[in-house]
Amino acid sequence: MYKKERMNEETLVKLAQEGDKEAMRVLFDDNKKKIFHMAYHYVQNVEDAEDILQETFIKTFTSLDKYSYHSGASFSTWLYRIGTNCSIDHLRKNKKGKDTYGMDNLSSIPSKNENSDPEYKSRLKEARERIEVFLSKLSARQRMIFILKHYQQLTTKEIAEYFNCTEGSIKKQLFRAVEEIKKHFKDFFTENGYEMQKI
Amino acid sequence: MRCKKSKERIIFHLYGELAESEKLELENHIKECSECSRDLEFTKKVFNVVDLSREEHVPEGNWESCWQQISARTEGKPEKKKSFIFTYKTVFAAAAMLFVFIMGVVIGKFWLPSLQKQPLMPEASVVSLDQSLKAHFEDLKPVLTEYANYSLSEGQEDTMTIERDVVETLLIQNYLLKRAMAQSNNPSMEQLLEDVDLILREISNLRQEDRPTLSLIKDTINQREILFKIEILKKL
Repeated sequence: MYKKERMNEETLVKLAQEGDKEAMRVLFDDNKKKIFHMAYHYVQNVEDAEDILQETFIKTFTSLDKYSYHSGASFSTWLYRIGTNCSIDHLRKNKKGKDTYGMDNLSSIPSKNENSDPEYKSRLKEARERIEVFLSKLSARQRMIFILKHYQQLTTKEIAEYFNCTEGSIKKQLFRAVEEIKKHFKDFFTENGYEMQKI
Repeated sequence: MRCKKSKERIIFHLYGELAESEKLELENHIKECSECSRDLEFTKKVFNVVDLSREEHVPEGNWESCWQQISARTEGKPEKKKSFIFTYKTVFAAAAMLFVFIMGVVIGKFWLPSLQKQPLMPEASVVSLDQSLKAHFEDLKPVLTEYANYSLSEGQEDTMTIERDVVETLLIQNYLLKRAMAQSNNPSMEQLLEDVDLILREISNLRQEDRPTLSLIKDTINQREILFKIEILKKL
């Protein structure tokens, strides 16, 4: 893999367009975690996230001839766009046979910096369960928008670019998703003295 | 500011995406409205919980096995770019250009001379623009009516019958008229075409079962009174 690791993205893409496998491998290594994390948060299991990762890179590499570095979108934006579409397609295909998604169960996975207090742990577990239920109720597109915003921390403008639509439309969907998640947490903080009132 | 607007702004304030003036307006409203102030605190707590859940440990993928699959399935691809001359698209484009050229010759020979003999009417272009607008509105009406009346009840099957090609043609038509109208002094018509452009773009990007966007399209048509404005402007 020698010097290609040090090449810039534009050069790597050009080499990959000519069928250079090593350049493809470097592009894969540079972007695999980002796409995998996005897919994992979206489908919540490793096996499906790996399928999405593979599908994303296969689609990317087989259609590289359609990509131009001077078209405005960077390679990683283009890759992300393919990744979000693959994730949405994957969820839609798999939802037909399943009522709920999330086989690894988000709530059972330990956190990196988790507090050892049992009360805190149990509250966090409950919160995760609620988030899981909330996500399963969203449409495939709305779920992706929420994941991109809250888990990938993209701006509304960036999300609109990935979906090739207006920022207004993304804002509207985010607003609805947040209003929905708030309903799922309506009684969660009551013991801290908070009660949500209808506006 | 009304509480409904404030509720929306609270979310984008927490995302750090509000303009300075919007932020100030929101802060002033929150100072005076206890319900919105509570909503801000509650939304903060919910976002905090979502952030905590994000910190979960994401397992590592089996990178080597994934790469093997990708490598095997992209073997021999992508092909080196084909010579421009031999691609199907080029042949098709050349055929289309030839067809347009022949049609131009035919029209020029048999049709244009008769027009040239007639004196050019000073209002010809205005008349033709008005007619084009009326025809465009006629084409738009059934499409917008279908989306404006679309029932969003859960579990109902998708009954939309409008094809993507129709919407894309309308988008092009609308874009051309928008450009033509930019030279005239008719801001209400320009605004209407701008609104229609937004709606058609949303429709063309719409995916099946995307209820929030369907609802957004429906709301935009109704709230901006697009169909009513079309009827009025058609009659002027």
